[in-house]
Amino acid sequence: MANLKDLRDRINSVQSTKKITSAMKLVAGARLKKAQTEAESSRSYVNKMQTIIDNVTSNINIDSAPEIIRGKENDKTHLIVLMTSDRGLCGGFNTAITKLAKKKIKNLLNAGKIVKIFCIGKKGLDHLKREFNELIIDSTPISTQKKIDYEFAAKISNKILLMYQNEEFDVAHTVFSLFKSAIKQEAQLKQIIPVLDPDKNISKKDEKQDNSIYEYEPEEEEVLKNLVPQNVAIQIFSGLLENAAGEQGARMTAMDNATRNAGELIDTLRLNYNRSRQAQITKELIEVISGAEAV
Amino acid sequence: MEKTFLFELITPNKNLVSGEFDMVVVPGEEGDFGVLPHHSNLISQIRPGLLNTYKNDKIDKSFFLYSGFAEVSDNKLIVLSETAFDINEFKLNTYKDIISKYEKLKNKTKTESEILFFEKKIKEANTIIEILN
Repeated sequence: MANLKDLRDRINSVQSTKKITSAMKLVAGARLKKAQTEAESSRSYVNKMQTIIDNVTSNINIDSAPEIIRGKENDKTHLIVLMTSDRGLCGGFNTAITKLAKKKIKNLLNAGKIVKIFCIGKKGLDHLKREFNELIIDSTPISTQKKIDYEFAAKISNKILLMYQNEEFDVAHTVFSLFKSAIKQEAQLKQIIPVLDPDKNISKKDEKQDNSIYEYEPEEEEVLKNLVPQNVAIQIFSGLLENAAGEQGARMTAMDNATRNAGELIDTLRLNYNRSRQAQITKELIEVISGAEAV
Repeated sequence: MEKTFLFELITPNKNLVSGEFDMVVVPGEEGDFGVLPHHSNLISQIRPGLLNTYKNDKIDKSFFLYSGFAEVSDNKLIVLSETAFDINEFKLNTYKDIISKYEKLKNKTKTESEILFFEKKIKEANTIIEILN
């Protein structure tokens, strides 16, 4: 049986771990609330933007639309914008996102496409470095930002759009985690460039038959040309906010589990400790008694 | 027939306004246009300028918009804008600070995309000062 001092040390160390995890849980809970409101308030902008884009694209002639909307003839080079958190200790949050990204990357590679990866957040970079190091073209951490603001997203989208202009890629996807609730996040893959997703396009057209007609100021094409860059920025921004909320939610759940596990571990250890203590006392008593009898 | 309609001003960070108004004048790309109840469906781009909301024939609130889009449909006006704020919140010095901050950042960086980005931001702050001052 383990000696008493070892057990005592072990209990102490688990206890201090428990203190840390429960503190982290509380902090994550407080941050979650803020992040959640931010993520939810950005959704109305994203949704509205999407409706406007849907309206405009259903009203124009697809064949004459600019390439950024209908897509290029060949989609040889794909860009994956991977958004993860900067810190760990948040359960399977980052793993879920990178798993989805890896699946997509492998599919594209198998189909003979060229893949480029842009990592936002340190964890995603760490996860992908081992397998796809040569594909990663750029990365940026999030924690250098005091707060995730629109400007940060605009800067990234600027970079991406410039790369598109320089024909460094043909199709771009973002991978992030959609915040459903504190205990549920869903990794998502979203196409941002070109705007029209060929897979979804067909079904959409049927729904839009009875759509109301809009007047445009200026012309549809002109409006679209300006809508697209803003859409890229807002998609990245909302992805970052959804991620931030999801990260805190995932961390809260993970830390809650950790705290509970630590509690259970402490109970078992304490039981063992008491048993060995009693065993030792009994042993000492027997020694004393048998010693006395021998005299 | 209703005399008011729903107007929402949405920025990426929050919904600035959401409420019923008599009339809203929007700075459209091709000139200001007033929106009254039952306006026909319209999507317009926005140029830098002031957006005024009216209640009982008086200006209720004024906002500055730098860019964005306005959509009118189903007796609703929705304005999406990346840069929008109440003109009462405007302070000349903050924008002067912003310009000098970006000038500094611009001189430090060497990447093409960042330079373009900072130039855009400086232009934006200059336009804001020009219009509101």
